[in-house]
Amino acid sequence: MTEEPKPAVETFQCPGCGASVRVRAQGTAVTIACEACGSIVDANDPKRQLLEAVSRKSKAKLLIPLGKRGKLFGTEWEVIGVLRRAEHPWPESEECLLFNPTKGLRWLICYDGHWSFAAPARDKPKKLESSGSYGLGLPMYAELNGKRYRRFHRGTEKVTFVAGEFHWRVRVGEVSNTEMFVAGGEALYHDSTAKEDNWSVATYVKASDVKKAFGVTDLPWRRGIGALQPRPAEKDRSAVFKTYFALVAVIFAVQIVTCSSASNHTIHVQSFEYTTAAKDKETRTESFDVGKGIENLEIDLYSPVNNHWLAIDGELVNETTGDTWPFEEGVEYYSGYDSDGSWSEGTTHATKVLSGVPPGRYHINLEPSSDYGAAETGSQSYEIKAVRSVPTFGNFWWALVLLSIPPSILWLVGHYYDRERWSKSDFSPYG
Amino acid sequence: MTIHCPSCAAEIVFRSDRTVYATCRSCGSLVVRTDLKVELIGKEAGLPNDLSPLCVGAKGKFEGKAFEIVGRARMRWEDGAWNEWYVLFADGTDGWIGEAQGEFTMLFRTGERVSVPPKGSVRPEQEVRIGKSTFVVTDVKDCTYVGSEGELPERPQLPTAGDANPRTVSVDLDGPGLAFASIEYSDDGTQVYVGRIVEWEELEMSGTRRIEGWS
Repeated sequence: MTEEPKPAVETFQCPGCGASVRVRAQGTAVTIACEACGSIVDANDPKRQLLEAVSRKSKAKLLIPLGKRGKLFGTEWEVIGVLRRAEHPWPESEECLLFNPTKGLRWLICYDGHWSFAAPARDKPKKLESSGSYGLGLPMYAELNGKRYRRFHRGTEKVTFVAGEFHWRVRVGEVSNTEMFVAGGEALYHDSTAKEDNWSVATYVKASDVKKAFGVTDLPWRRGIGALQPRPAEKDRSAVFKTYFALVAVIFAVQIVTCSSASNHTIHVQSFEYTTAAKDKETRTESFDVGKGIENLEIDLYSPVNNHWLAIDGELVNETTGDTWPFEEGVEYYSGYDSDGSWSEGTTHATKVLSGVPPGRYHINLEPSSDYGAAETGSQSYEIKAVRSVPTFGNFWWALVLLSIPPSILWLVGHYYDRERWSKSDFSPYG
Repeated sequence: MTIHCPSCAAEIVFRSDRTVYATCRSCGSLVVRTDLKVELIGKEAGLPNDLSPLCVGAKGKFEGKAFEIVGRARMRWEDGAWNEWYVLFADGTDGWIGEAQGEFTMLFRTGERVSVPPKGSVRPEQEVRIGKSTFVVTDVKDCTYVGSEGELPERPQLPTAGDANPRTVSVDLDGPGLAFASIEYSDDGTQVYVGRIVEWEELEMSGTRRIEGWS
């Protein structure tokens, strides 16, 4: 076809106020409301007779001007009409009718500063019957294409303002019954009047994306969390949590394997006697061999103290390399009688785990100290035991804690968003 | 087949055996051809301007088969209007592209025997079985003919001496998935069309109408 391109825009004079009115979507527009005064004209009437005379005092300021073009979701759209609806006493929503000749009509809706983009639902969502919800016997969920949406709102909206072109005989004061169901970044809108019953599927749009797409700057501030505003990383949440639980299972599996391969066997036991003469004097165990396995060594101290403490300041020494592993441990045990009966406190066993101990020949240097004193005769015995390859839980707990931080933050922030979101609804699952 | 317009003698081409009605591009006369002659049956007032990207002569593809748009009829109802574009496929079959508010459907006259509800009682939410699928009525519109261009296989519902404003009842039905059907009740009888919703890109249209401001 090598014809001249058909002009896309026609103009005529508004029969209400004489202002120049532009028609942008011929063939699709059914009614046209004058932007200046609000009078409504039949789009298909060549005589442009008034359908409804309105007299707005002044030209209203639209969030996105009529005729503005913008690219959203891969398609270029033109704003052909704007209407406002309200449900007393709540604020108005401003709804922009978008048109593209090969894609059709869409709605870009602003409420409380939050924007959503709605397209007619190809398939009709199914409301799921549930009993006794809020005592109304009202279906709390609607389902479409396998996704479940929870009821957010139910009410009646009245059109309070019109400008531009619409594909039905809209009037100021037109009332429709509305329902809204939401789920993670999307919503189902259901509008019904006596004549029509329409379901739309809506997606959240960031105000910054609307600004960028349509080149507008002055958009209302967002109030709270929007009904269909997605939680942070909404699309990835399920993957994050699945990965988290998989990794937790891996950590448990690793720990089980490590623990079961820990031989946990005693390789050296030696008893000592502590006397006040021995206080702070160095002594040492006999030499012993440390074999292969998980490279840790647990040093156990046992002393049957009673109303005393005993501590050792020690170091494990590798006789070949000279490497040392210093450690301190102590025991204390007290008991007695009082008005409530006998009591006891403390323990006679202590353990310390030294890690990174390779196979080799070792001994332990000891410097004992105690409050076992000159008043007592005799000595306090104590026993040192070396245990090879013990199961440890330190790394296990650290790994679990650190791994849990990102998903916990994600969950907590998401929970905050949900509570804020549902605080605006009469059907909050949070009561 | 080429004939001459009985009103202004300009050439009118019929590209198919199926199309018997055509509008003369020069003078707007609506003619019908039979085996023996060509008859003038009316005059087209001219179609109102719209933003349709489709036009007579545009070519496209549907499910691998190439087609060309050879005619259009426009219908209107109380609250709007739509276009029905008549297409001929390379293999000789035909179909209709329904266009309303920027959304498109491809429909074919069905050969199935369909138990159609009586005209007076058809209502939204009713179920109609067509072939193996069940369709649900979504819309019942009382409509009239606005105008046409190009070639068409059926007689447009023009005003006659007996009926100044003949009305057709046009019923939309929704089927499983993208399936779509249409039942038309007119004075000439009842027709059932079955097909589906199509996205613009799917049709791979070429030779479409250039609309100023829209690339």
